[in-house]
Amino acid sequence: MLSASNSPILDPSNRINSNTYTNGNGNGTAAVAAADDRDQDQDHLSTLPEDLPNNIKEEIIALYNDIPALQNSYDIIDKIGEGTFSSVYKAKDIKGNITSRFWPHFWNKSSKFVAIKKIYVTSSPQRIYNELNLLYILTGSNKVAPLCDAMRMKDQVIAILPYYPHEEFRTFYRDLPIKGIKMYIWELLQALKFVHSKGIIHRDVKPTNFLFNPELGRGVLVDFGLAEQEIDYYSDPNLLKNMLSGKSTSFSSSSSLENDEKATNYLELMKELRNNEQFCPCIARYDRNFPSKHKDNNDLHSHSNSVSTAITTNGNTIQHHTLAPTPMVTIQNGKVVNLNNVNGMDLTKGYPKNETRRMKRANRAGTRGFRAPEVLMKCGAQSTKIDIWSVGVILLSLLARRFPMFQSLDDTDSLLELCSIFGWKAIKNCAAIHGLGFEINGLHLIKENGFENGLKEFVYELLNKECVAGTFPEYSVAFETYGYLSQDLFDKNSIEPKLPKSNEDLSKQDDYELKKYQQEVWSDHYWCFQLLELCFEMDPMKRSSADELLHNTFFDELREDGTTDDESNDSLSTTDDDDDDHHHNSIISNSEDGMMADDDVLLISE
Amino acid sequence: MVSPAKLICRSPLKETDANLKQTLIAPPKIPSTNDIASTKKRSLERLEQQELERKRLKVERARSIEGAVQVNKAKVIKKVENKVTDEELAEWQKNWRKIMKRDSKIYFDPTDDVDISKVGRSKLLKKMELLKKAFCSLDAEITSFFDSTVTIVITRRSTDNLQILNEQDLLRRAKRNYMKVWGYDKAVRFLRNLDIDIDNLQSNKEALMATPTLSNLLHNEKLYGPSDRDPKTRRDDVHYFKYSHVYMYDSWQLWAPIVILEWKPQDLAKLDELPYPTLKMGTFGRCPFIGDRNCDELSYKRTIKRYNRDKINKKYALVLRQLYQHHAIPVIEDKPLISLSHNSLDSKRLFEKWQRKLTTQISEPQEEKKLSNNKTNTWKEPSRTIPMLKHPAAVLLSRQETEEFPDDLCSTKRQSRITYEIKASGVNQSNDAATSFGNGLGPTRATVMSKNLQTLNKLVVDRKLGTRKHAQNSTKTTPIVGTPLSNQVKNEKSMDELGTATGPVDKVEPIPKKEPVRNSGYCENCKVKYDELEHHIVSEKHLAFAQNDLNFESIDCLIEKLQFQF
Repeated sequence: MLSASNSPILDPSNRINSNTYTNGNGNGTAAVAAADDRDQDQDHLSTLPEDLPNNIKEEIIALYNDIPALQNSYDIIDKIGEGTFSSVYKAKDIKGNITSRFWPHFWNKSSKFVAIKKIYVTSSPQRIYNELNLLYILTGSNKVAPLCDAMRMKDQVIAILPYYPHEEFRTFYRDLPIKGIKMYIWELLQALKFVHSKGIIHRDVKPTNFLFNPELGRGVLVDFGLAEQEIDYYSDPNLLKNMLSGKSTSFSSSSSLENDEKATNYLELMKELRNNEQFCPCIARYDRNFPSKHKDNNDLHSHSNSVSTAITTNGNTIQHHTLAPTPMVTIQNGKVVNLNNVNGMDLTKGYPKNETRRMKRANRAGTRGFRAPEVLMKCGAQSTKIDIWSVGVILLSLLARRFPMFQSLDDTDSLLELCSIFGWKAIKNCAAIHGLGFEINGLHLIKENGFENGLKEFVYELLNKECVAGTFPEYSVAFETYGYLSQDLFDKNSIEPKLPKSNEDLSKQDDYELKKYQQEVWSDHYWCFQLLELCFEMDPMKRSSADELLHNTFFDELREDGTTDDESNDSLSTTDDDDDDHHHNSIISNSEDGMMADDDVLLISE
Repeated sequence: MVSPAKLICRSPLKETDANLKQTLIAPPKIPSTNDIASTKKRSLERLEQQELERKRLKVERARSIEGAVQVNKAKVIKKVENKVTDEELAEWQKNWRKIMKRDSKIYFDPTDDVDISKVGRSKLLKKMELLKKAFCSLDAEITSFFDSTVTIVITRRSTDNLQILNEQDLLRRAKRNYMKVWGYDKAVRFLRNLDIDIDNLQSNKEALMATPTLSNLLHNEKLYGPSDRDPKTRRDDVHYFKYSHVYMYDSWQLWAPIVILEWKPQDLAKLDELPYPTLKMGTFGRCPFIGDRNCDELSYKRTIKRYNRDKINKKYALVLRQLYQHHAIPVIEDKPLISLSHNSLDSKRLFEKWQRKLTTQISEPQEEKKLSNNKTNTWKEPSRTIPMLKHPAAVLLSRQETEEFPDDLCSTKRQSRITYEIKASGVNQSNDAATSFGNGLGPTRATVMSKNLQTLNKLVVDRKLGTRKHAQNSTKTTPIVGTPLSNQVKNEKSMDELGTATGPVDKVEPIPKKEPVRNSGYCENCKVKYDELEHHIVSEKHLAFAQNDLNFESIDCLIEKLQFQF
C-alpha cells in the first residue's frame, strides 16, 4: 500500500525550497508560473476530489510544485498507477489542446482526460530521452500510446499521454470468452507489428503494459521505458565486421587457402565473434559439413525467409546454413577435437573453482515470467521476437485462466519453469542454438520431455484441476476450453464437435444455434492453440513475427471485417474511427446502466 | 595459418620435461611422428636453423661489444643509429625475429638481488610481465622451468659479476651452458632494437590476448593450467558435480557458466519443499508453480466465499459472454445468450453440495466430523445453525484467510485503488547480487571475477538489505559448502527474493507494509546507491546535476519538437 513515507515522492515543502535555487529556464514550457505556486496549494486542494487519500493529495500537490506549468493546462484528478520508474496520474485537459490534436487516439471522443506520467528523477536523462523519443517515433498508430506533450523542470520530467479507460487484466482474464481473447491478442499483435516495423523491441510486454477495454474491444500498448532499437545483423554486414577488431585481414586471404585452413579461419572467426557480447551464435548458424560445402554466395541472399545467414568480411562471405545443435567437433591431425575442450580441459562436468572468465552480460530488461528463453540465456542478439514470446505467455494465461503463469524468482528459476512445461530436452536444444550447453541432473520432477501433447495438455491439466475442485463458476467460459481439449486430446475418433448430452426440450432453432455456436468455439480454439504454439517456438528465428501471426486463420474474421487494416493502422483514418466510436459509445451506455438480466441466459441443463 | 588445435595442443618444442634428451635439435612434433613428410620438413628446418645459428653468433658478437660497455639507454640507441646502417639493422632484426620464433626458449630468473626495496621489487615484477608479453609477441617460447634447452635467461639481478656467484647458482650454470644471460635493461634494449614498443604493449594488452597466438595460449595456460594434460583427467581446481545439479555453460568455454546450481541430497529430501520450481498446478487462477498450498478450495468456508464472489461477478462475466458471443468485435445483440452445458464441478454445485451436507449434518454429526478431519487447514467449522453467513459482503472483504495469497480472487475485484503490477524487474537487474536491489537501476557489474571482490560485494549488499531473510534462506537451501560459485548462485537467489518482496506473486511470507528498503535504490545520474530517496534528491551532487540544463539537452530538444505540433 502507498503511504506518504513509502512513496518516492517528495515532501512538498522540500521541493518548494529547492525551487528557489534557480528558475531553470531550460525549456519553453517550464518555469512560466513558478512565481506564486505557494498560493495555489489551496486551489489544487479544491479541485482535487474529496475522497482521495491524503497521501495522494500530497503527491499531487508536490507534482504541481515540481512542474508549475502543469496547472495551466491540466487538472490532476487522481493517481492511477505506479511502476518501477514512474507514477501515472489522471488529469483533465483544461484547454482541450491535447484531446483535439490527438483525438483519433482517444477511445471516447468526448473524453477530456489525459494521463500524466511522472518519471522518477533517479532515471538518467538518456534513459528518459530514449523512452520519450521512442514514443514520439511511434505516434503513428492508435494501438500505441502517443507522446502528446512533455515538460521538464530541472530533473523532473513528465510526459502527457492520452487517458485510456481500460480494465485491469485481473478483472477479466477469467471471464473473457475465446473471441474476446482473439480481440485482445489481435489488438496486441497489431500494436507490436507497428512497433516492430520501426525496428523497436518493446521488451516488457505484459498485461499491465497493454491497456485493454474488453467492452470496447480496444487495446493500446504503453510504457516504452525498457524498449530499445533492435540490432539488425542482416542488413548491415559491417556490424559483424566491426566486431572482429582488425581480425578480418587474416581472413581476407582465405580464398587461396585449403579447405582445412578455411575451416580454421572460420573457427577463429567464430571464436572472436563469440568473444563479443553483442554476438550470439544463434544469428550465424553453421553447417555441420562446413567447409566442404561451399555454395554460391549470392543464392543465399535471395531467399530471405530461410534460416541461413551469412557473415561477410572484407568481401568474403562465409555462409552456413541449417542448425547444428550438437557440440562442434573437428578433426585436426587425425585427432578428434571437441570444441568443448578448446582449452584442454573438460568443463562440461564441472566448473573451475576459481572462475577467471568473464560473466556474459546481455540486456535482460523486462519482467520475469515474460522473458523469452533467449533472454534468460543471455543471448547477445535479441530481436523483436522476444516480444512474441511474451504474447504467448499472456495468451497462455488467458486460455488456462491462470495469472500469473510463472512465478520465476530469478532467471534460473524461469529456465527451470520452462523445463517443467516443455521438458529439459527442449531447453537443452534451445541452449545449443545460443552456443550453450545445458545439463540437468537428479531433479526428478523435471522431465526430459514435457507434456506429451504440448501446451494443449498443459492447459487441459490446469483446467482439469479447477474442474475437479469446482473453482470455476457455473457460467464460466473456461468450460468451453475444457470441453474442447477433452475431446481433442482424449476422443480422437470424432472430428465433429460433440455436444454434451443435449436436452430434448430444445427447439430445432435453438439446437441449430447451439451447434453453430459450438462449431465456432471449437474452430476458434483449434486455431488459438496453434497460435499459442507458434508464440512459444524456442528458436527465435523460427518464431513467427507479429505480422505472420496476424495472418493466422484464427484472425480471419477480423481481417475480413477490415476494421483494422494495415493502412488505417498507420494513417489513423478518420472514417473508421467514427464508425467505431458510435458503436462503442452505445456499448458503454448499454453496459453501464442496462446490464442484461440473468433471465436472458439460455442455460442448457443436464 | 595453423589450425587452432595445433595452436592449442602444446607443441613438443615447448616440452618442459627436464629428462628429455638434451640435443641441440628440437625433438620432432609428437602428433606428426609418423608423418614422413613433416619429418623431412623438419630436417630442412634444422639445416636452416644451423645456418642461422652461425649468423646469429656473428651478429651477437658484433652486438656484444656494445653490450659490454655500460652506457645509458639513449646513448645506446644513438650509437646503434650511428654505427649500424639501416640495412644492417634490418638484417639483424630479421634474423633475430626468426631466432625468437624458431628456437628461443626464454627463462625468467625469479631470484632477486638481496638489497632490493619492496617498491623496486614490484616495479621489476611489473616489468617482467611486460617483457614476457613482448617476447610472446615475437612468438618466443617462455618456459617456467630452467633446463638445458633454455637459450636465454633474463634476470632481475645484476649481470656484472657472474663469476663471483655460487657454483650452483642458476646464472652461472646458464653461462656455463652457453646460454645468454640478460638483465632487464639489456632485454629492453634488445626489444627496442627489434622495434617492439613496450609502452604500447602495456595499453594493447587486450588485443594481444585475443589473438590465438602463443601469448594467448600462455594466457589460457595461466587460466586453465598446462594444456598437455589429458582433458579427461580429474583436476583439483575444477569442481565436479556430485549431486543433483543444473548447469548451463558456454560450449566454447569463452564465458563463465550462466547457471550453476547444485543441491545436497538432503535439500531435495522434502518433496513439498523442493528448492527448484515444480509444477504444483493448483486451482482458482493461481500460478501453477505456486499452487494452492494450504488452501483447500473444497472447504466450506472457501466454497461460500467463492460462491458469493461468483454471484457478484456473474453480471460482468455474462456481459462479456454476450459481447463476444458471435464476433470478435464486441457487439450487444438481441440474441439470447448461448451456453454449452458441462458436467464438471463448479462453484455453484459445490455450494449446493455443502448445503445438502449441512442440512443432513444435524442428524449425522459423525460424518461431518470425518469430513473436517480431512482438512489440512485449521479453520473452524461454521456453527451448524447458520449455514449462510449473515453479511456476504462483509465476508468477501475480510481477508483473514486469504492474507497469504495477495492475488487471491476471493477478495473483491478491485482490492486497491492503484494497480500494482508484477514488478518489472528493471533495466539491468540480473543475477548479480550487487545490482539486484532497490529500484533496479543499478549498473551491471564489471565482468572481472575476482573472488575476493565478489565476496566483499556480497557483504556490502547483504548488510544493506538486512539479514532477516538470509538466515531463513540458508536453512532452506543449503548450498554445497566449499564451492564458491554455487554459494554465490544461492546467495544471488536470496537477493532476488528480497528484491521482489513487494511483488504479489512472492512466495515468501508477507512483507511488513513499511519496508525501509523500499525507498532505497540507485541514482543513475549521480551513480550512487542511496538509502533514502528524499535525502538523496536534495543532496548537493544531485541538485547540481538537476540544475545543469546541459544534461537534459536532448530531452529539451524533443520537448521543443513536440511544441511545434500545436
